[in-house]
Amino acid sequence: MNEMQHFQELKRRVLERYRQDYPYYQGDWKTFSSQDILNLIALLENECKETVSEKWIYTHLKPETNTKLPRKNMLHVLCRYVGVSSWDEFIFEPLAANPTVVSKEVANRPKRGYFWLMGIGVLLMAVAYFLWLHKKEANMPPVKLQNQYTKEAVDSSEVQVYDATNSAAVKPITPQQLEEKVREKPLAVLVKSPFYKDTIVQIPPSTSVQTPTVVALQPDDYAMMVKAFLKADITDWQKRKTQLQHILSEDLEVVVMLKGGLGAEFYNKAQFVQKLTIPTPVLKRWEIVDIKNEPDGTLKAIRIKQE
Amino acid sequence: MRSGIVCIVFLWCASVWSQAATESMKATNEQSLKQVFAEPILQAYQENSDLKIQELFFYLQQLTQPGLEPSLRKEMETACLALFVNEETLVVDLTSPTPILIPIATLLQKLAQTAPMQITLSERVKYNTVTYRSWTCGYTIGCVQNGSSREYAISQIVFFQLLPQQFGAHQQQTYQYRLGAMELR
Repeated sequence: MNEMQHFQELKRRVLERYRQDYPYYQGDWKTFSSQDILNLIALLENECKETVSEKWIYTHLKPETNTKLPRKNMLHVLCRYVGVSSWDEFIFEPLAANPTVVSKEVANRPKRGYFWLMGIGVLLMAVAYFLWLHKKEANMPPVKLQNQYTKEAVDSSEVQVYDATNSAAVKPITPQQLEEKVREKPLAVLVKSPFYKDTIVQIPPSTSVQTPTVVALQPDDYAMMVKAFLKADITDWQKRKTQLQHILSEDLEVVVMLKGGLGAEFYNKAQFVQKLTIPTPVLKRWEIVDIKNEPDGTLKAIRIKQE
Repeated sequence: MRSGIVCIVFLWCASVWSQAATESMKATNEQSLKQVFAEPILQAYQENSDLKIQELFFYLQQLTQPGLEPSLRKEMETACLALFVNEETLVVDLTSPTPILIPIATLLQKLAQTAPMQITLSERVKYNTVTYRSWTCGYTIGCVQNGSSREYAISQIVFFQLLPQQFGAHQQQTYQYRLGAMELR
């Protein structure tokens, strides 16, 4: 394959990778819409920390055939997006391996020694397996967080764990502190998350259990919806607008903390609904860090961190 | 007669004093954005205003897409206008081959009739002339339409001021952005 053929292959792989995030997109580069381009730019920015312009995508990716290879640094970005470290690795074709030549002498060597080698090999593997098991046990996390309904694992970055032994002085703890605290004695912990209801659970000492304690978290559906809407594209905007009117409190106050926490911007319900109804690439920079609900479950306060 | 003259002199003095007080307040306010915010905070707010400009051109580009359903067009136009001080604010006419300024509401009408457009913005935005309620930023717009491309060098006022904001039943003063008029550089 020459470099241009490699580039066509890379374009195919980029589309394949794009479909992992947008599975409903089944077209090719020719039908890749301006919205898809914006989505791809956001993905590249998010995953590779690189900015690619729309113009570049129109020039190099949209055409069915290319006459010129893009700049190498841009090829690196696309390669990283498809899980290859660089363009050089992508185009690397290993030389065909030389056929193994076994001399007559070696072939005729007595096979008795092989049994010894096999025995030592099995022994080494058994020792390695034992060590691996031991290490796994030592590194076993004391709790496993999962969605109560879907049973899917919950991303630990979305939760904060608190030591709730003393209900008058609940304080946050790190995963390391948690592991240390439950090594010998049980611990009451409070699990808080913007997307799940607060949950208090008693964790037994890690020495007394073989598997981590499963903590089932009850999702806050409305919070989950807003989280999903931040990643949405323009399709279904009317449905989204109606749903937002329903799940947001009239008194909603949204605070967007600017990069580095140096300032904040406020949105009321009407402004926030408008912002999420027609999502712009700016929303991809938003990450929900806290949510408060009204007694009826509607969202009354949302705190967002802007990257 | 004499008391009448005294009265006129008194009123004139009061008027001069009032005018001087207003000027003095204005002079104080003109420094206030830099006084209210530490430099890194003001810089963060200014950088955040770039996102408003990016949003504006995202909407404008979407509004040139063919087959945009009328309800969605209206929604986008509303979102676009919400970024501005008012719908008479002057912006560059992206549909015109020669650079001219027209009200944003007029541009939105023209975009409905124009061919699809690809819009890019220059990355570097400079902030000059910080006043008591605004700053000016500079950037370059690139437009590709029907295979031909054109560029507009723009400077634009961004207003950033304390305004009342309604949150359901309660109201509070918050700093809010509004895009002001563009000028051709």
